[in-house]
Amino acid sequence: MGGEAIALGIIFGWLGVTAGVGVLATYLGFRRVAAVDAWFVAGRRLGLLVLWLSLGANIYSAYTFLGLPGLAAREGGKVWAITLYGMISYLIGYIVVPRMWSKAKDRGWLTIADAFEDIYGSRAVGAFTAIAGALWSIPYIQLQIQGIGYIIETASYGAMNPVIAKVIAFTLIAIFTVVGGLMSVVFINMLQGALMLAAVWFIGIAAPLIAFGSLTNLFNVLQSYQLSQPAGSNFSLFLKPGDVGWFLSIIFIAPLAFWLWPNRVQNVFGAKDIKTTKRNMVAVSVYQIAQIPAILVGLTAIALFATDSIAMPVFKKPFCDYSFMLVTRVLFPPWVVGLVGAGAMAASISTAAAILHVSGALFSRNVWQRLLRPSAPRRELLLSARVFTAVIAVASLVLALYAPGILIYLLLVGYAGIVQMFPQYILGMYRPGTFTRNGALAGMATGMAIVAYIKVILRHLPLGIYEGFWGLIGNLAVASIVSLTEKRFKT
Amino acid sequence: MLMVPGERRLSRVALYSAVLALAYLPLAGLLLVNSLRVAIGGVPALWVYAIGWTLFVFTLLLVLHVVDVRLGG
Repeated sequence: MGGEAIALGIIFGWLGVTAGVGVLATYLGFRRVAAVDAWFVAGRRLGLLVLWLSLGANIYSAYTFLGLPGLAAREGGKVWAITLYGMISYLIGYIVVPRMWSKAKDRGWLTIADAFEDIYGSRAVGAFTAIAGALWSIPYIQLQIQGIGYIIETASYGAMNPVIAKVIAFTLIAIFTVVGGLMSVVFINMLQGALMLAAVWFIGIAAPLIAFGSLTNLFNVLQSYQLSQPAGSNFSLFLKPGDVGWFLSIIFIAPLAFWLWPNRVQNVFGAKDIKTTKRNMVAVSVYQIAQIPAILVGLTAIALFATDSIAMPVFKKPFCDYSFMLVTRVLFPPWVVGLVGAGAMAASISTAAAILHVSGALFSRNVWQRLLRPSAPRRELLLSARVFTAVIAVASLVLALYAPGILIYLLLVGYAGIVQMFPQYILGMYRPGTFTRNGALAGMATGMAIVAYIKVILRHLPLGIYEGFWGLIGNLAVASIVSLTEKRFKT
Repeated sequence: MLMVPGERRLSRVALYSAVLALAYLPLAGLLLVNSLRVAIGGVPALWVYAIGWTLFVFTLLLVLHVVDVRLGG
């Protein structure tokens, strides 16, 4: 049997097992938790272990497995901004998330859009955040689709067309997401979490040692590569002067968005109690440490390229994001490639499923029901959720096929959009009345428009600073001006 | 010593603020370490610093949790 058959057999076998578990859980779940509320937050009864595994698989995905090693291979020291902002996010989460949970419980919020609707007393604000949350999730879903394609392409040893592989894998998970509810996603995530952690730690520790004998040797190769890298390579073990503004803006801005992703908010709202939420914050942060071995894999990839053991130019887009799988393929037998590929793909699928699921739920509840068709029967609500989920999934797939990006930068674009909800949400919780309804809405819209303008039209970061920062400046300015003006006219 | 609710809230706010400030404190040395071209155990100083910073924030989170629980969180 060829290497590709073994590796792909394991990957698709695992996909089949998880899909089977999902279908089973959905079937059982429909009987036990048939209420619409259960579709949204699984009845607020998830315990620590389930929530820990679910959140881990939900948060850590292709960006950990493929994106981080890719950025490390392509740009070197800059990658630490990603790991650091993630870890700092847990500190901020520890402070903010319990408040989010208790408010949600007191006020009966099921989604982030419910929170906005209640805080600002406006269904339009709720609907805006529901749609904006879904739209800014598209790059995140696109990232997962691209990642799945890279995994299958590498595991097939070049035998499988990545486009077909992406379509098959994502169609499966899209169907599952539409048919199932949060309960089944949680079950699947439990399976993914264990495999994902084992894979990243094993490859991260073993790969540099097998390839170079020690970290010292690895860094010696990298030092030499840095001095004589090929044209177009921007690798640096240190921060270059132009990186500092980006680095600082990432570690200050991105953590503010970390807990505002609609799917994460839903996981938080689904927690059993406030103690579970806090303990979970600490427990899930352990996953963040697993980014260190992932980064080492990226360094191993570029060092293997420097020593001609990898032919693919991993310093270039999009090849950098193949780093993790390439290292595994070069250094390990096909069955390890299969297991690691399964872990990475499972993580990507579970994340994409969670985001898609929540996007549909938000649209159905906060746009269709609250704004457009208040008397819609439950059947119609579920249909609207599924149609919207399918639209988001197809949009993500089209972008993955026709406008692929570097995985980490796709993630950061999503963060830049989502972070625009931070001031309105947090100030709305802690200091109600700071922004008026129109001020909040205008501010968020302005911030998101600035991020989109920088990403799509400008196509470079002003002063090298993260687009999320510029969006927040515009957001706060507009929200404050509109709110103050409205308050003055009212008095 | 007994703590009234207002004091407890104040001490928690102070705790959160202090922990957040500490988490960002290593920023002060980042540029200096970045300019050093020395290796520690074969690993560039910046990389050792970044790994240490990551683990430091993780430790802060653990400490925060322990203290928070003692404050009745």
